[in-house]
Amino acid sequence: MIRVRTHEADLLAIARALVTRDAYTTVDALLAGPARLQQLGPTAMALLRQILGRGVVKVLAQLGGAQARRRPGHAGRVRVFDVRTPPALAFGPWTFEALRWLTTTPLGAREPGLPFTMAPVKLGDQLVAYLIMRLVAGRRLERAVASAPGLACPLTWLGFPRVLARHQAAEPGLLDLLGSADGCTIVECLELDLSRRWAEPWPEDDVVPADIAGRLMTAERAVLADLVDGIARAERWDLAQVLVDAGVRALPPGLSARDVALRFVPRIVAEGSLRSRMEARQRSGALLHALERVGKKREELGLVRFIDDDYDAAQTLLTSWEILPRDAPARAEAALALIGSLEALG
Amino acid sequence: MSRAYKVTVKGSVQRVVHVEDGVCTELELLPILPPERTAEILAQELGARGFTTGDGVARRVEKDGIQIEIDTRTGTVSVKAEATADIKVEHERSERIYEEVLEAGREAAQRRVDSAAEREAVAAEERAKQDVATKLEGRLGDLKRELDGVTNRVTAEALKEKARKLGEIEELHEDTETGELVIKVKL
Repeated sequence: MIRVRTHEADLLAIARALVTRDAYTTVDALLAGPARLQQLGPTAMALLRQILGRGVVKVLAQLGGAQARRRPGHAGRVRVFDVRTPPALAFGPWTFEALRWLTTTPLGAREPGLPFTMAPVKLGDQLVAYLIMRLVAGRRLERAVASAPGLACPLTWLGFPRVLARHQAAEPGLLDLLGSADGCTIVECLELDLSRRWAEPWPEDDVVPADIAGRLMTAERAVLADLVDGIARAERWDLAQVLVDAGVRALPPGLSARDVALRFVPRIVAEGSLRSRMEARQRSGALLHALERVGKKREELGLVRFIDDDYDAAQTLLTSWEILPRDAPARAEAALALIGSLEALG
Repeated sequence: MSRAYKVTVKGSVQRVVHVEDGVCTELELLPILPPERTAEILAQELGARGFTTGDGVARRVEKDGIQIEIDTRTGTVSVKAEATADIKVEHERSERIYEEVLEAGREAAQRRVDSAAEREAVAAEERAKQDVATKLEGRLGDLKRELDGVTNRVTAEALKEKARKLGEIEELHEDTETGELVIKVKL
């Protein structure tokens, strides 16, 4: 039997929760309460390596990596792991410090103590940050965790712009996330999870002041604009599948432009100046703006001729994007027009 | 033994504040005709609805002071409401202050009364802003319907003109209630 100290076991339980589906309730009490832990013994450290090493591969497969679909340069449907070189995922000191912070800080207390400020450096650390955000998003400890400056990094901005912008003042940005092949592969592996997040409607019971709504919508717009810019720079339009899948969820056939607009417009407290409320609403619809750009790219790809070198790649992308109804960009545009109209205040 | 004095201090705030609120939107004008011609039709339609046009901008001031401006070239609509509030707040406060700290106590009491008056003035300013926002919000529903009507009329006129250019109009049926327009053209 392997033995570790109590608080080491707590840290390992939190690490396991990061790579296990719907495991928040199993660690809520551990996150909320305090603990004393300076370092891990060799046994606990070996277990942590094992949990992260195996767990991260499993979770990347679950969140999109194991999803078979058409990809440029490959015949038939293939998974990310079939076609990409496995990313070199290294976990630096950030990962241990973040887990130690989660274990030792009484996040459920009124005054949880010092915030976690260390910035994740390695891609593995960013992925752990993403999984931490995924664990607490929408839960009672969301604020305590998401307000930590150390949790803001390109990958968490990509997945949780609304949560981060709500709880901290940092500027959103993806920096050079898509500048490396490994970064692209991680985004590709998170495709399923990201597309679900970006298609999520604004919750009915979440009513916020105009200034906060404006900040959240601005962050979302900046992040998706950054993503599409990065995709174009890296010439990896296959990564726009995240947006296409989100578009399929957000723009199902038969849903009117008004209903589409209502999914994205934030619920704003009916006080303060009308101008600030209107401006906040007009900044919403980040996904719709991104879909307009995807729509333009789809038109471009449709013009690639049979004799052109990149015809096969263009056709693969077009086939892969066929799930997005042809009229989706037009409906996105109509929804954006509604968001910008006086009706948005209704 | 120290004596206590009853000190009365007064604080007042008086200021005139100008509060303003407004929203911007765009008319959805279809590119049926060249932009210059669409702008002319829009200006005519707005003119019929009480707007005065100058420098490419149609303006109308409502009875309640709400100003509507429409750039006929771009279709940008700006709706603005303004108000001037004369804020007067007076506060008086009596406190018992011991002789030894009379001066410092009087100053502290003055600061407290000034601060209370300032808070009330700020609240009054906020109320004035809210009143303007509420007034504006109350008018937006009607205005939206009117602007939809303008857009429909401009689109219909543009379609008729385009149809006339395409050939001879054989039949033209317009339902003013639904906005439905049927034009048959002999090419």
